[in-house]
Amino acid sequence: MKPPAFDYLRANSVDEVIDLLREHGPDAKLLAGGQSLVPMLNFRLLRPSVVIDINRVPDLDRISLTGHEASVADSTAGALHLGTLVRHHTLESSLEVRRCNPLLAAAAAEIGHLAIRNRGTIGGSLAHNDPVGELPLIAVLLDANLHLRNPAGERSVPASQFFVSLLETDIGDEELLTGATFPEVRSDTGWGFEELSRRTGDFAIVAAAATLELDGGIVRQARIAIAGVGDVAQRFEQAEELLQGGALTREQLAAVRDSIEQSCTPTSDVHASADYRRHAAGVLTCRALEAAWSRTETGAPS
Amino acid sequence: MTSKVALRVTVNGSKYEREVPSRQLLADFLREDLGLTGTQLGCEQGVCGSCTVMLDGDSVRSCLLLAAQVDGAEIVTVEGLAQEDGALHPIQRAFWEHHGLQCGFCTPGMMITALDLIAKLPLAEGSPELDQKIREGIAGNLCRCTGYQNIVAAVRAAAAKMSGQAEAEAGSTDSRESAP
Amino acid sequence: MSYMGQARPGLHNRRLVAGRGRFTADVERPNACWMALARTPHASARILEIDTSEAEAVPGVVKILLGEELARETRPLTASYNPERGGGKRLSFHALSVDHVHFVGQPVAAVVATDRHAAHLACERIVVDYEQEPVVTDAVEALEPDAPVVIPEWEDNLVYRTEYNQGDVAAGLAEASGTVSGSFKTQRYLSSPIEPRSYLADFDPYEEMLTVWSSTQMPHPARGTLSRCLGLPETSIRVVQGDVGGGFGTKSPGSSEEILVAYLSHQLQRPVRWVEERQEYFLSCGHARETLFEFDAGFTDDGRLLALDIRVTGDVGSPTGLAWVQSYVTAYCLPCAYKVPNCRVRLHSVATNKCGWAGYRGFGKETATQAMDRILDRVADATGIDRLEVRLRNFIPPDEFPYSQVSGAMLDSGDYPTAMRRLAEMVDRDAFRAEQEAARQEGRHLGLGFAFELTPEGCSMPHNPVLQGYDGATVRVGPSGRVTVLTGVTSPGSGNETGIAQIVADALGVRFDDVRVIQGDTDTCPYGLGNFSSRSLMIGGSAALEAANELRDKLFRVAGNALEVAEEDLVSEDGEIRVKGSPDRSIPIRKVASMIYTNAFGREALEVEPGLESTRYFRVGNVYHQPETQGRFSAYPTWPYMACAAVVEVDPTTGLVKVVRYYGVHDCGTVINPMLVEGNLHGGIAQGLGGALYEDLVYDENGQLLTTTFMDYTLPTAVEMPAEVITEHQVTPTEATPLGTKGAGESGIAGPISAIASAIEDAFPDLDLELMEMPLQPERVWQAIQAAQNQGAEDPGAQGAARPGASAR
Repeated sequence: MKPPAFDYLRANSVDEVIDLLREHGPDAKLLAGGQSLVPMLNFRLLRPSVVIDINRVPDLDRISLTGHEASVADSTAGALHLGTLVRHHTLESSLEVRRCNPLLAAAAAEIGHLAIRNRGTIGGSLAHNDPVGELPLIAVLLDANLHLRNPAGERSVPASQFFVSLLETDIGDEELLTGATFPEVRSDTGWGFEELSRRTGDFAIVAAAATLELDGGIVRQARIAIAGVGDVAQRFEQAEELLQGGALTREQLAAVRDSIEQSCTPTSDVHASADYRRHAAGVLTCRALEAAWSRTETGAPS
Repeated sequence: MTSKVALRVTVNGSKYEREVPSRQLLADFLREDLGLTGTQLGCEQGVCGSCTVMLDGDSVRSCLLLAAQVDGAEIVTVEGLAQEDGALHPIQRAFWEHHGLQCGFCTPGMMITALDLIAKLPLAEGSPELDQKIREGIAGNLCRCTGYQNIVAAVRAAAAKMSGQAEAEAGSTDSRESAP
Repeated sequence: MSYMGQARPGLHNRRLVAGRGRFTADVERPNACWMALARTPHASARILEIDTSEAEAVPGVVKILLGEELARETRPLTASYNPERGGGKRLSFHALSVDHVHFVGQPVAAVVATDRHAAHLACERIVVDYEQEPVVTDAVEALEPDAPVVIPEWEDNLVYRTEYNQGDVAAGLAEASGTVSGSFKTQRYLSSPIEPRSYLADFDPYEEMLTVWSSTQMPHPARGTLSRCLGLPETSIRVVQGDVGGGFGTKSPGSSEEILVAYLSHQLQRPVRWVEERQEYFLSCGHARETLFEFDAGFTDDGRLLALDIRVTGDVGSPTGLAWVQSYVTAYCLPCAYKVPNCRVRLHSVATNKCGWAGYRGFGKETATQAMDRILDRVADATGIDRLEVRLRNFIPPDEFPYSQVSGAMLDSGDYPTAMRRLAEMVDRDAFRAEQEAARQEGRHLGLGFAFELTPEGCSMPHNPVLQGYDGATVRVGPSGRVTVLTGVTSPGSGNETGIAQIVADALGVRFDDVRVIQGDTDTCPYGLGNFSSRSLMIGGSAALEAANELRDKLFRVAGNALEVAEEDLVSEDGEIRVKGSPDRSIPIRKVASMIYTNAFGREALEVEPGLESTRYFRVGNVYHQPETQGRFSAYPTWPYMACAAVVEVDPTTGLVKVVRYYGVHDCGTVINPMLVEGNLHGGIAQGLGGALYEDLVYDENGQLLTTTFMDYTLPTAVEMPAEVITEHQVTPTEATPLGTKGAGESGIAGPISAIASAIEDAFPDLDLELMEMPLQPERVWQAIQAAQNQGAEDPGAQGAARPGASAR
């Protein structure tokens, strides 16, 4: 199909974006990579009066590191700052990202196909908040910080509060998501990312991601997040707690699986039933945890 | 609300200055305004890959871009692959010779994708993952005729030829000789 | 040298890779208007009122057409094989519904506007007042006495029923040493060419000529349909086929949109075009396949089928779909490649409130094959006989051809056991079992499954304007000796033009590069039926061969005069006519052509008619339409087949299936171009694999289609195809065509469904796994494994014992 009529406006600075948002309010849509927005326009599911192209706003495609473990001796994790216009392919192939947060690079590589990743941006993906989107899942898992600009100034929102409900975020009508800060995944932290989809490149039916921070072979902190079992990606703290303070064992994995199956509340759709999603959530989480454990170079779970 | 946007763009080496409607898709601009109908539309939602073109060296879906967005950019479509004298690009030659197509509808997008893939991924000859990488790389382009087997063979051959050519350079192919 | 048998890439490849394809949507006409359709959101409703006032106010709108006008001004579309002929319902409808809608997506109004945005906007502003009615979306429920009736004027939903009998099925079942009963269900799916349909019509009132550019597979039948519906003489209509971006049977005449575009252009006297949107394609172009088989099979201890009672229920959806006949073909083919002494086949073709059927590669043959494969696997399991062996024991023996099947179908030729045995060698089951065992030690589940597809081709039905087993070709040798071939058959990308050029080059003895093939234009090409049922090379190629042979005789006569030898002593090759045994005595064909064209009164050419052009029609053998004693007829001249095997790896935890290898031993008779046949096989196998694992059109209980994009309806990509597809050819030529060609266009699609299902079962020798409902998406496989495991857990003693065949498979 073809898009409905709208005015195309191009912003050349963050201030200009904010001014245009103030002027047009909810009738405006921001266009970054367009890999979610343009299909919705083509399907005429969205009918904005104005589309504001932010692709030319300078500096929003930057990647920078602070407090990387190489330069910080203590155990405080460093952070990876991503401008909203960083494209998925950049995220997947950037050496800085792969070194500082290999999980994020791995997740980015699973987004769609190359032509989609060439255009799609991290800001677009986070703001769109598809229930099985890879980046919202990782943001929730690592509790990334999302940075917003509005007429009053700037604010940052933790992922736990940013992803509100199905395709909805905390971004206000007059706000621009300028970027996100992901904590470093240090070399003492194992990570795993698992997706189940019918074909490569499809939206996942269920996706699970996990990290295990070790301290002398003992799990200091475990994180588990799952997408595809609710309106937004979710952390599973109860299951995480089961893993704290020991080495990963088969018994623990079984307990984690039970805990997730009992606590998640998926719904059925044309791609999968609730039962299957619940089952897959448990399976993928265990696989992600096993992958995480193996990445800590401690061997297979005992 | 039929606002128009000024557009200056280079397509297949030629410069164009046009006014385009705000909502016009890049694919429609190429097909209808420039008459470059080699780029095809199969789904208009970015899934089938038929409309894939090269934008500043990256493969992109031209159904998911507004024409207005490509102001100042350089675009290559299937019509821009052959040399001016008609000599086919190695990727075209490989698809022809390996019968990497049947109806030819998905072929332009498939070849553009393959070119981006060859440029971005290390597709070392003889590597055991080579075919799998090619398969993953073209998985965003649907073909309903070929079952992909000859397409994989064509991409593999083109990648080998192009890496050889990069070393030797000067490897011009003559499109007038017939395929073996 | 002979071009036939050579692997040559498609003649059009060079143009297509250059981006110079000319698909119908690429054709421009000045001042062309756009048509858009308003489609109903309801699966069953009465139309109370249509308000177009707001739509008419949209700037750019030229006309809004409603069903009433169309019904008044045109004749309805009818199915080419109307069930009425066999005592069923009469299928006849208009492109726009008048007072009732039967499925979601059915067009209710057409808007023509100067640009497509205006046409779309006006469609959105058409207000239709509907009274919704009860919906039936399941064929079995639709046969219940109190079911809602899809077409209000009908008494019930039974579109067609028929029955074929051989022997005494009740006695056979009673006599059998064992029986298996059950059901097998194939899902609803569709062909999905990547090129959406497209039509552009331009009426010239001064020439009284309507030109229609169409993404059609069948230009002449399309012209006939337009002529009948619009009441225009055939001579006032020209159908031009663009490059067609895949057809697979779907781009057949009689589509609503084709009629509408033509009618509107004729009425408005200006060009009107329509390009299908993908969502429209899913909703309304036409589905296929959804068929339920219920069976009782009786067998001997050694696994021979004594009796088979099989009931086929085809859910043909809204009877506005013209290709309901695919369900007829399914019943017609049963029991396929097998000799069953006592057999009863009962068919019920049933209407529901879903999209009607359009032709799709396989055309009903594939589900028949799949049902037989699944039944034979059940017999193998019940008897403990190897799955491959059970097929060997039931095949029609090679010395019994031609073989009259239960429906009266006359199977021409074949050697099924040899193909199956060769497949077994290729697969090397001992090596596979070792590989399977080694994988099992690592916790991986590999399985091997078999299928045997039978794909009759060249369909010809009595009293049918589309399905006819003949075609025409014109061969011209020009004054320079170059050759032009015009055919009534067409290519939607399958490459028959290349094979036809090879045939003609050999027949005339000219160079392949000197032959040009033109197809798909009713003003230039001889009358022909176009492309369906793998007929183009087998029937169109035969017509071209006969025309070329006629020209060769004429060339030889003139060359004989020039060289002063008898015609019988001449041969031609590589553009030269030579005297046998005297290679130095020769004359170039271009010189002979020149004698005919430029020296018509000269010594050499005086005795022949001037000109070098021949048009011949070829009627295929092994078809009879004079009903025999049971009123049956033979519709298919040739019966190609393929023995197939799939190796899969299954993740039992998620139910994900990956096809690792696929094998086939294929027989389409004489192979003209192995590269194109292989390409067709690969494409067919990919579509079959899609049907086995990925593709499914899902309706909810209200008749809403839930899968209307390529995101939800998932075609296999390059990753889903197995890395290894290994095929071989066995050649048993048919006597139905002069070269022994049988047709290869549909081969490959049937096998994967049953081979993959069989392989998944084989991956779990300890479980009583029976996969009898398609497709095998991860969830269904996972559920089946769970169910089988639970069953095993409840009755641990039965494990193994319940499956005597498990270890033998």
